[in-house]
Amino acid sequence: MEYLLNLGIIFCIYSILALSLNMVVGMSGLLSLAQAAFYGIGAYATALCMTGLGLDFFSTILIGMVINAVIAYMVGKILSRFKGDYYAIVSAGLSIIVFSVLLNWKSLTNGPLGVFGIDKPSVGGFSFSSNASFFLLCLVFVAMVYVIYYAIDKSAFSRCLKAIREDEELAGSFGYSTKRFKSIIFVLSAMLSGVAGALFATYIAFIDPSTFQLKEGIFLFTIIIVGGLSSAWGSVVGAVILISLPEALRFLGLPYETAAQLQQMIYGAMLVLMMVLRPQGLFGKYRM
Amino acid sequence: MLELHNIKAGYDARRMVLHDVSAVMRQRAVTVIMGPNGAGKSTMLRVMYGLLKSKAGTISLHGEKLQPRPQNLVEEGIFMVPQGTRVFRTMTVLENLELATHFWPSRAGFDKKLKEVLEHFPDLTPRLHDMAGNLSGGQQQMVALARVLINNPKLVFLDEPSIGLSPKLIQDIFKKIRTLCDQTGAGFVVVEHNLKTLLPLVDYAYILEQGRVVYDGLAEGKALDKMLAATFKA
Repeated sequence: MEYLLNLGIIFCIYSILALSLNMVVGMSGLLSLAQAAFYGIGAYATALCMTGLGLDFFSTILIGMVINAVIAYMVGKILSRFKGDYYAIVSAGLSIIVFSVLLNWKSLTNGPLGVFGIDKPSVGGFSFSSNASFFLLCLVFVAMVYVIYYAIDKSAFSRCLKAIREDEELAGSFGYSTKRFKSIIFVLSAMLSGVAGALFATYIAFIDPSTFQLKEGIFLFTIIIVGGLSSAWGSVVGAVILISLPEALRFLGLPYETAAQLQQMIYGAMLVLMMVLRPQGLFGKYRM
Repeated sequence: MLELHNIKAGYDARRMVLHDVSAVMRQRAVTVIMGPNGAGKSTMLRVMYGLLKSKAGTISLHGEKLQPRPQNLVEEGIFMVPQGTRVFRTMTVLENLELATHFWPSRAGFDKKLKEVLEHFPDLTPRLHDMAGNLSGGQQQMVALARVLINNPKLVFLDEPSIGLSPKLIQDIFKKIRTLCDQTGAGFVVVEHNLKTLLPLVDYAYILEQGRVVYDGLAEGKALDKMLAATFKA
């Protein structure tokens, strides 16, 4: 049971990340590889504020979201000038920069040794220390992010984003400030990724920079490609499939290295198959 | 309404595409800008709509100088339908039209206007929930026109609306533009290669040749015929 709850918590954290990334990639057509950076900033904001300043979990979530918003706003101003592959390359650059900062700013982040002893969240004397209670907390956050995604998806704002995704020049000729729209969704997405980071940090109780590398951003990208672009449900299903896969390999009893390599091969084969057979993903509404 | 005074513009500093272009785009009139390939017609439209900055000269709206930007121009009721893609292909016809809700304070007002606009384009009503990309070229052009019409435009720029359309459809589109101009009072500025046969539907004509205006006046008369013959002699 504990194992299933642990799996459920990881599903939830990655569902939040996938939902937030799908706002940028699926709704807006922006190939962002920066999500791991915001995930990391959220995790470190919570870890450092809880261990260093003694703040409570919920305040640190807000702090992480604000820091992510400020960074995303500044970076988004630069990113909004780009589109297509260039956007992906520049956003990947952000991910690499944030990883380097987390690794090398030792006086703040403790460098490669990471941050230890992060407490579980608590509210009004109740601690979410058991896996069951933490899972419920994660479910609440997934539901909140899902509702936010759904509300944006049904709004006039999302219609403008989809227009930008289709043809930015045509959308611009209609008087839309396309850079502003791209910047707003990038900031929103970064803020929500920070929530996933905060949950991850408190759940694992230890974080180091290696979790928040560019390859994590690519993994998140894979989740939404498989689950479906521009689909909230697809984000969740994609997360469940890609997280379950390595777990399923455990039961084959393969040596660790073989299982790890097999996992990468299966991820690669899945991506190729999806691109050929179902480019919009399992539940996607949009083809890249 | 919108005036260009001695505009010089180009995509690189050493080679100008437009040389001292002056022109007036009027409300309640259909104006056509014609010329051979590379004459600078689309560049002129891009400068007027603020998609390309002029290197020299001024642009004024209602007599007041302005630095055009699409965001400001739409507030003044000036819209553009660019060349090539006219609709958002993976959005439904209704979603394409609903992009205009952004400019409407209330949905009820928008819905009322939508109904009114669809009366001009009865063929679109049964296709409202179809993907715009599945429509014929002529119907896509109608969606593009309907989308700008919802915003009560004063001036509409159309960059080569005839591309990819049959002569019959081009004739229909121009008749529709003429009707819309007469009924709504909006001005239409159409950039086209050579539409001599459609000139009876147009009020004013500009002919561009190598970035210069070589004809500016009413879309009729011997002077225009002579200039058209000279410009398109090849």
